[in-house]
Amino acid sequence: MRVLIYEDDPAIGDAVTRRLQQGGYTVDWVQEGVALRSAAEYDDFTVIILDLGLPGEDGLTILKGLRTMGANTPVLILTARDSLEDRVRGLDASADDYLVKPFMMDELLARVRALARRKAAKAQDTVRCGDIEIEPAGMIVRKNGEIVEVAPKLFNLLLTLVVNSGRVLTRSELDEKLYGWSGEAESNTLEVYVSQLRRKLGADLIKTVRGVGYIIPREKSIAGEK
Amino acid sequence: MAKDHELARETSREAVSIRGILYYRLNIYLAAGWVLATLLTGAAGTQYFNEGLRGRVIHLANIILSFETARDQDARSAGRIDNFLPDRMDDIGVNDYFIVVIRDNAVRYSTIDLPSEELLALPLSGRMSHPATFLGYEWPITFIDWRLYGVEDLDRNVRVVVGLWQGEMFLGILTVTLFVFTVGLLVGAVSLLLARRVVGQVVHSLEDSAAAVMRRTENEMTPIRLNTRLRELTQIEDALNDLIARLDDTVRRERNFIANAAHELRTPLTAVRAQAEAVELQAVTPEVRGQIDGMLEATDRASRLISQLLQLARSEAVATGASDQEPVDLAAIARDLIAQFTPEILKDRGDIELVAPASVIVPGNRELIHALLRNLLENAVKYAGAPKRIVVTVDPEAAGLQPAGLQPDAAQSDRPEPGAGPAVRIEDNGPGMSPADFKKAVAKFERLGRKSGEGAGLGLSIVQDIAQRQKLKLTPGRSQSLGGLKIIVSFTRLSSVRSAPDSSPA
Repeated sequence: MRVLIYEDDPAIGDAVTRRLQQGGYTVDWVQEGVALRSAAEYDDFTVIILDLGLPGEDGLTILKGLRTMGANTPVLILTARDSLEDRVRGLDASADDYLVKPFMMDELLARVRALARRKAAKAQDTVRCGDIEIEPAGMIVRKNGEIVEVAPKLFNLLLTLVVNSGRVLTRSELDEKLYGWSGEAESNTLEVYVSQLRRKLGADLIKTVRGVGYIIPREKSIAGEK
Repeated sequence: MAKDHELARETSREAVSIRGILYYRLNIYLAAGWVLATLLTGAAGTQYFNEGLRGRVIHLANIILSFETARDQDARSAGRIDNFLPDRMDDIGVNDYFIVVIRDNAVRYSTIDLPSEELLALPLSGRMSHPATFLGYEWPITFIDWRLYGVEDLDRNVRVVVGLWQGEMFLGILTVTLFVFTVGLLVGAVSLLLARRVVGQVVHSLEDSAAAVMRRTENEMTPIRLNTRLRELTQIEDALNDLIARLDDTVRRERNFIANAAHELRTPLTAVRAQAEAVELQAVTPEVRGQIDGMLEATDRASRLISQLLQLARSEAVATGASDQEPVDLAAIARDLIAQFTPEILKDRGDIELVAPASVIVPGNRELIHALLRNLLENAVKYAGAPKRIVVTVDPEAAGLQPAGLQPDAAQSDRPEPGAGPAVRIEDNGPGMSPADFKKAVAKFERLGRKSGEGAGLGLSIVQDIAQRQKLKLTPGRSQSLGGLKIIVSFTRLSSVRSAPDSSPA
């Protein structure tokens, strides 16, 4: 897995690069917008990490440029700006995730992993999460290497939760993402599906955040990363 | 601040109103002018009246004298006078003056009914008085005063004495003076009324301007419009606007400085953190590992402090310009925040729960309300027990919401009286906080002796600051179900509260 980092602060760039390398990633670190653009254009990256606080060219402009060029590599923005407004602007510029400085390295790795998973799911590649392995193409779910039969609707729910593991998905988010429902009153379909998944894959896999939604907690270690 | 206000009000109570001063002075000046005009007219009138009359009378006496002395030379003309004079006097019928012509010590002609000896004794100047006769009766007290003007021709032994009734002069002067008095009174009254009107208009625009300035809230930095054409007021307007602009500029610069400084600090802090975290822990001794942990903790504290400074700066920024009335969905914010904190809570097998309808909309500033709830929740997460248990309840006004799992307090005392608006309750299973401690904690930079090492202690003071600015009420208490701190944020000021049904998308 290749990660492209655009960061002009040598200390940060160096540390992130080293840490990602420890996590098994191949890292390309660029410090200038031009280099970033050409790298993003000619090479295929799993994730791009983009520092927004760079002087000169605005990171958001670069991001928009990348998107116009057709690059759909997941982009994680690093920024010192943390207001809601800034967040909205970043996500509007089609960033996939947003991390405010100073961040915890584990958090950065988890986000990168989540983005990689999302990309894999999009590309119909195998997605892993703990002892669960999902092959989107064949709709195959393995737990500890053994195939578990899962109905298509459950499969989509599981895949969504796994791809977003470490993040709470609200009920309405799940409803919309999976079924295009805009919420029927007192619908408990989601609960039913979740409990079916728990029966098949273990009660601990999916956590309920009452009143909010569901989450597959992120794995503790980065071991097993490809 | 409040004291200053009190002081200002105190001074304004002692201050005299322009209206009062102008009315008072106008009254005094006009009255003085009126009295003075009357007196001067009286005095000047007397003078001129006297002189004018005297001149004419002496002229008359001289003419009569010359006619009388001409009698010898021209008998015809004299005869004409004889015929003419008495007729004229009768025609005129006046009794406010008399003419006496004495020739050769005999009364040749007289228009006053007095004994000859008295007439012959009349001096050439001075006064004479005699008892008045009225209705054929002689009144002993009332004297009729005459002022005498006489001329004589000693050669021909002719003397002419003209007497003028003093009362005539007095009445004349009195009439003129009274006229001036009355006219002055009328003119004075009218000009006073007009002047009061003008003063009223001027003062009114002053008062309007004061009201316009008073209506200002502290967060308005737009130029003041006094809506006046008075130059003095537009000068005040300009001065005020200049001040506001400079103030705005200063505030903005200061705020930008804080924000920029905070942002700038984040990058080196990130570098420190990242470098510390990039150390391969397996490759270093436990001692170094401990030192690295210490560094990480310190950067955590610093970064939390930076965030809080930014929030404070932002909270103050909202004072200038930012929207204060955008629709804010409390339930959505609560969901968003809980989602953010869930991973941390799940780390030690904790539990967090939201009890809320799909949306509870209140007017306010989204950024600030978000920051307020975020700080409260951050606090709850930080101080909750082990495992952490937190319940957030968004109450759209006395709705009987019951949580599915953990039971937050359902006691009546929790709920503000009906109609008091929605409230957000955040409860945890931490050690809690007494109301006195809470009061201390909302003071800036107070850390309450809770030595977790993580809190920079600004969280609750930010909460308090925002609550004040957004006019929300904070009530600390003890959570009956979880045992820890319970904080209720009451959105009491809200007039229009909408609550969507449970299932609509957030």
